[in-house]
Amino acid sequence: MSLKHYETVFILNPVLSEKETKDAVAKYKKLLKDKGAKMVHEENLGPRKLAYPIKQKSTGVYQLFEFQAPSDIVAGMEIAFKRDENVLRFLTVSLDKHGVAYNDQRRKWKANNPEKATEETKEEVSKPAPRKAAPKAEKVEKEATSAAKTSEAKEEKAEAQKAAPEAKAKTEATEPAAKEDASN
Amino acid sequence: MSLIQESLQKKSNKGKYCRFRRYGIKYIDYKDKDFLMKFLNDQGKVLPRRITGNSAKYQRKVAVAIKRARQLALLPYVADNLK
Repeated sequence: MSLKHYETVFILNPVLSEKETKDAVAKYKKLLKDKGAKMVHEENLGPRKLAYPIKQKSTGVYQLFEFQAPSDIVAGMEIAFKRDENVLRFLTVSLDKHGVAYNDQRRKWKANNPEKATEETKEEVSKPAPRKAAPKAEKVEKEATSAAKTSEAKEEKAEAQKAAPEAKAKTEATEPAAKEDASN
Repeated sequence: MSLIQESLQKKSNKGKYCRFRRYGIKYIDYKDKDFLMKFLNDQGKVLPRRITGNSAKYQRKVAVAIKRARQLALLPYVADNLK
């Protein structure tokens, strides 16, 4: 069975002592490893204020796991989360290739910019790419403008003609360009 | 056709574009609360596509990301004076 990329975020009770939170995190990490998951990344997003109270608590400790696993073990992990009283919320997401690429880039960006503790926007992470897309844009433009003319309403035509050639060039060129950036 | 109808047709799109297609952003992170706030109004509701300029595909992705963030209490379901 092929391994899928998953990302789990769970919120722990803020009242727990540091040792207890570490134990809880280690417990779930061990659970995953025992079932054959490969941990890619784990991050403690720390105590944060919740947007609304959960179980009468206004803050929680956020923990992130990113791992590769066969698809049948995730259900087991979620049952363990439900049983644990100290886990307030959890969310497991299956990452597609774009998600995996984004996470890789984000980690590299963070490694290169350790001072910027605040979260960067996706635009910062992916901004360098569009400039490199310019030379390739010309080739794709011709194909794209013909496609844009046949599509949709009159109002959107002008917008589509501007956006489509740029967009197609950028989406096609971004991934190789982004990988270049990531390797840099 | 009356003169009024002509002026409606000539109304431009005010240069609105889908920022995801323009910048080649393919993945919308549900954990990035500050970025997602751009797509909410001050009551915490998801803004319509005609306001944000998103393409249909990315509007769906944004909506999914916002709903996940709401579940993780990164964004509220209901708010007032969010901005």
